[in-house]
This record gives sequence, structure tokens and C-alpha cells, in this order.
Amino acid sequence: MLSQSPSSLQIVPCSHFTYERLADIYNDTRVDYIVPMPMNARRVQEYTHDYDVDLDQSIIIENGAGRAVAMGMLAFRGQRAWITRLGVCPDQRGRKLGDYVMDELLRRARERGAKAVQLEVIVGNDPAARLFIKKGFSFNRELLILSRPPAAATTTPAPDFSIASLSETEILTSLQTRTCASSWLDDTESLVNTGHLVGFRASHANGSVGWLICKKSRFQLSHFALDVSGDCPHETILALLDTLHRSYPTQDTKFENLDALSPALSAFLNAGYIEVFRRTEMVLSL
Amino acid sequence: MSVIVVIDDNHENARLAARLLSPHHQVMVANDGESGLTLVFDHQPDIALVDLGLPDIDGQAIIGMIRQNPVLAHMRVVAFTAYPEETAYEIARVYGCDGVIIKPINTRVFVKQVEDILCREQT
Repeated sequence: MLSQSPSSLQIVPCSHFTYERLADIYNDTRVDYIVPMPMNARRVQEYTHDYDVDLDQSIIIENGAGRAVAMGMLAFRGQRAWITRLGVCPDQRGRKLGDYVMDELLRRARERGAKAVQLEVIVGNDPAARLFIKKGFSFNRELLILSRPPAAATTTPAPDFSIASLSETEILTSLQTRTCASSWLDDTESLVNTGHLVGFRASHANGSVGWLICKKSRFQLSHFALDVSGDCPHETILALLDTLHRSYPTQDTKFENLDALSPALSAFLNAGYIEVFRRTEMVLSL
Repeated sequence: MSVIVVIDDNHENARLAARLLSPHHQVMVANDGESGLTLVFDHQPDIALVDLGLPDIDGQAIIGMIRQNPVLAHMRVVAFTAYPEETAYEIARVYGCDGVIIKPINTRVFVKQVEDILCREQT
């Protein structure tokens, strides 16, 4: 039961708020989050653009006094929906507001014709995980967030790889033909939306080939996609990472949502990446 | 007296840090990464306390930029964070920080934590 009657709660679309206000509300709900990830207005704007967040379908919950006490965002791609930025202000927890937001977002997803909903929850955020299970979500996979400080490559890649930069057209073609499963953050749509992509292709005489694409911003490399095939995937990824970090030695690197079971993980760890935290990807068929 | 830059988006926390340190040191505060970097490059402080979770630029990226710049080689850098302790120490190790201070601030030991790092041989 909601301790505040639903009639005293008001659902307001996120589109009624400025990005500054959305950032403030989001930060208020996450002030004590396990892994602090505050956002400013520019980041909220980029986030909604890059991940196709529908601000008309995303919601803020205001209490009877008009205070924003909870929020949740909803994004759509075809018949898939993504729930993100779900949060309840710390002093309002335990009042079923998370339930209320989830029910409303799922209702909106159904209404828009979504057949599946996905979301991620940080490993260790047990109350949120329990809420999602209660709503019918099931575990899909665990995703890693990796980080690497700026530096040129620290490993010596296997010799004899031929490396080439990818053109803009080749980047798009590669993304459209990739075989690895992506999370919402590194879907092709996300990468295309975010822009500023760079990419490299590595090939070896033994038939091993692969490519790596990421976003290069002023301070950071992020939004990774990669695909490798052939007999030596580990060496192929090392060759690609070596090229990437030699090309951009002053950039910090953040790789979000690498599948925890990915065979690529060992190459990233060899190249100086560390695990910062984990997310669980959960899915629900509607 | 040392020059200290605190980069923390939590205004309350940044104010508390400044209040505790300012009787002994010159303290400057920035509430986001961009203005924090400006303070660091303009004033070249003795030490920077960098929150890892900033609203505009990841704290790690700030630390990486500082560590890349030879002009700032003398500067101590501290991961000032509410991240889980194990993660904070691992990030600090890999990014070449001189120390870690876990938030919330322990007001009884905070100044000593900072001064110990200032006195320590640089890593």
C-alpha cells in the first residue's frame, strides 16, 4: 500500500521540466547511491538524446506539497523499451513509490506497443533488484564497467597484425553487421546518436580479424563496440587496444557494460583496465 | 600552510571540508570537474581532493589529466569518494593517487588524513 494515497501524488511528464531541474531531481534521488553518478543539465540532455529517452513518457512523481519525490525514465527503440534513472528520494523510501513509478512506466510501455522491457541495476542494490523481480523481470546477464587511466599501451601486442583506421562509413557498416549482443548503452543506435566515433580494424595472416569502435570525447574514450573472429581473438583485441591507446594516450577510458562472461575480458584486463562495478541486466516480456 | 583544491559536487560536503581545512590551509572549492580543472591549472595547489563521481566529467578522468601534466607533477591527488572502499582503493592505485579519503567525512580525523598525505613521500 502506498502510504501517500495515489490521489495525493501527481505524475508529471519529464518533458515539463528543464534539464537543470531534471538533473536536480535525479541527483536528489541518488544522493546516497552505491556508486555515485551525479549528472548536470548537459549530461541529462546528452543522455536523453543518446539513449532515445522519451521525455513525454518519462515521469516525475510529485507529492501533495508539489515536491518531486521520485522519477523514472522510459526509452523506446522499435518494440523494445528501456527503463532508466529510476529513483526515490531517500526520505521517501519505504512508501512503495518505486512500485508506483514502475507500474506507471510499464503501463506506458505496453500502451506504446513495447513487447519487451529491459533495465540494468547495480549489483548490490538489492531493494531495486527485488522490486524488479516483483514486477516480473528476470536476470539476463551481468555487465562490467571497466576503467583505464590515460597512458599509451602497456602490453606488447602479438606481431604481424595489420591495422587500419575505419572511415565514418566503415564504422556505420561495422556497427550494423556486428554479431555481439549489445546493451542499451552500446546499441548501434546509442553509438550513432552519440557521435564522435573512432574505429580500427585489425587483421592477421592467419585469418583472425576484428574491429573496435568507441566514442572519443575531450577527456574520455567511451561507448565501446567490438567484434572479433578467427583463431586468436585475445591477440586481436590486444592489437586493437594497443592501437587505440597509442592513438589517444591522454584519454581516460570507460567501457560500460561488457558482458561479464565475454572472452574479451582477459584482453581488457591485460591492457590495464580495471573493474569498477557491475550491473545486472534484467528483461521482461510484455 | 598548503594550498588545497576540493572538487566535490556535494555542496554540503565541500563546505564542510573547506571549513575544517581553512584554519590551517588555503582552500579553494569547485563543484564540478570543469571548474575544478581550471582551479588546479590556475593555482597549481599542493593537493587536490577529487570526488570520483562528478556531474560533468568523471573524477577518474580529472585525476588522469592531472597525472598526465608534468607541470602538476608535484601535486598530491586524493580520491575523495563515497565509492565502496575496495573500489576506491583500486581506482586510486591504478590512477596514481596519493591517497583515498572515504566520504562521509570523519570530522575528527579529516584534517590529519589530508596533512598525512601532504607530508608523505610522493608516490
